[in-house]
Amino acid sequence: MSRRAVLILGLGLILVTIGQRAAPTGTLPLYDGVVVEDPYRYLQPPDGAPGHPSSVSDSLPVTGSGSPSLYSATLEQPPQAQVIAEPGALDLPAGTTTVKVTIDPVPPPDPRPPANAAGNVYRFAATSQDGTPLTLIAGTTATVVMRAPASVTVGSIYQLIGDGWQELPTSNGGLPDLFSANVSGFGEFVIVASAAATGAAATGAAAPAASTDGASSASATQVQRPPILLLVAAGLALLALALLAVAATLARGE
Amino acid sequence: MIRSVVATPDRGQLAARAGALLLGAASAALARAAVNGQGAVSGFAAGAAFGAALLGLAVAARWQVRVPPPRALAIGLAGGAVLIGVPLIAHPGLPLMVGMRPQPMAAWIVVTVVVATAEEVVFRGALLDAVSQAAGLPVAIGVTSLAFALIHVPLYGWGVVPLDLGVGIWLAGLRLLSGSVAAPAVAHVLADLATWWL
Repeated sequence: MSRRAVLILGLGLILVTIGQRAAPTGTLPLYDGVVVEDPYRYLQPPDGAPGHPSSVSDSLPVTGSGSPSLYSATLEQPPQAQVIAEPGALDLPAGTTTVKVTIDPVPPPDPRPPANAAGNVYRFAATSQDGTPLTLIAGTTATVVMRAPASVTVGSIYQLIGDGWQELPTSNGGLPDLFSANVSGFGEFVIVASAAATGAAATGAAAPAASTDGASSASATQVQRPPILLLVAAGLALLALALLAVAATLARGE
Repeated sequence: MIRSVVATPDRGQLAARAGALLLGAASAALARAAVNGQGAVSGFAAGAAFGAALLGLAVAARWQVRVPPPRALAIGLAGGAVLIGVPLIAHPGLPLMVGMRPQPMAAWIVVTVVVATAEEVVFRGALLDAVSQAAGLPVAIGVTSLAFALIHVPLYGWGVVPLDLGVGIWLAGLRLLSGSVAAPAVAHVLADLATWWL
């Protein structure tokens, strides 16, 4: 067995483990070949955009002393809203036998979401079998994952807390238009596209980014993909140019 | 499975070949991201075209198909099991975040196998060999792993870079350990296919 190969395998395994541990939840080890995204479904669709986003209601039995592992997701491909929590994350009142998790697209509540809101407002809730709201144990979090409409790749998840929308520390959720945030409570959430990354280049063919007010605001918040493509192209081109420079140097010397 | 044709290009030619391969792979990846729209047909077509483009690059780089040795297949199976196992161990009890089940399943399997194999033929095969002979193995592993991570950014975002950098190094180790591209190809295919069930 090659000692060098074993060393390289060891380094790779360490980096893979670090990469997986650093992710807020498990991410795909690899995923190639096909990336399929259904069109974004709006609760209040602008002209030409699909409607009827799905809701989800999962009932999970409590079998131990703590709450079960939570994973609920809406039915789109990929889901437009997901919630994930580790076992024992919820504070269960005595006598709780079932945890009911619901995710629903809802009309934008008051106060209105920020102007660059992209897509539906979703209400996440956890209740016991008799409808008693369940909360997360202090110091624990759940992970909320939301998908933005097509082409919105820069933004943050906002939560309605008290009488205002608050931006949450947001990470990439595995695809450019998926966003995830660790939350300490349930309620209403929405993705807000980054104002710095928005432009007014939307066309009629582009998916509207914001529809939470029920009106088509396609011109408001389109975040285009070219920046990420350009950066990647630049990185790869630099690698290639470096190799070609090596080739030229070697050719001169031989 | 697939081996480079024995030839005696000088280091300059090898570096030039590596640069051309990298530019070709980059172009294919960017084109794939640009045309990948919404819906299964678009995703399947973009993936299949990307795989075909990479295989075309491998052919241009004078690679030929050979029957893989059983040892390489066994190493690939073990390597794939590790790639699948790490996230399950890293996050016990938690389902993975993105469930992807594009229909029809058979088409997804075919395209996934083609793309994963083509990526290995190019990155752990032709490109690794060319850069290794031109600039040494450490540089080759660094270049191929970084390029491998970067080509996934357009579809999956920047968050994929640290993980795919590690995966690229792991797959390069499988190639070195087995002496065949078949090992990383099998591991890569297994890891990709496992996402259907994870």
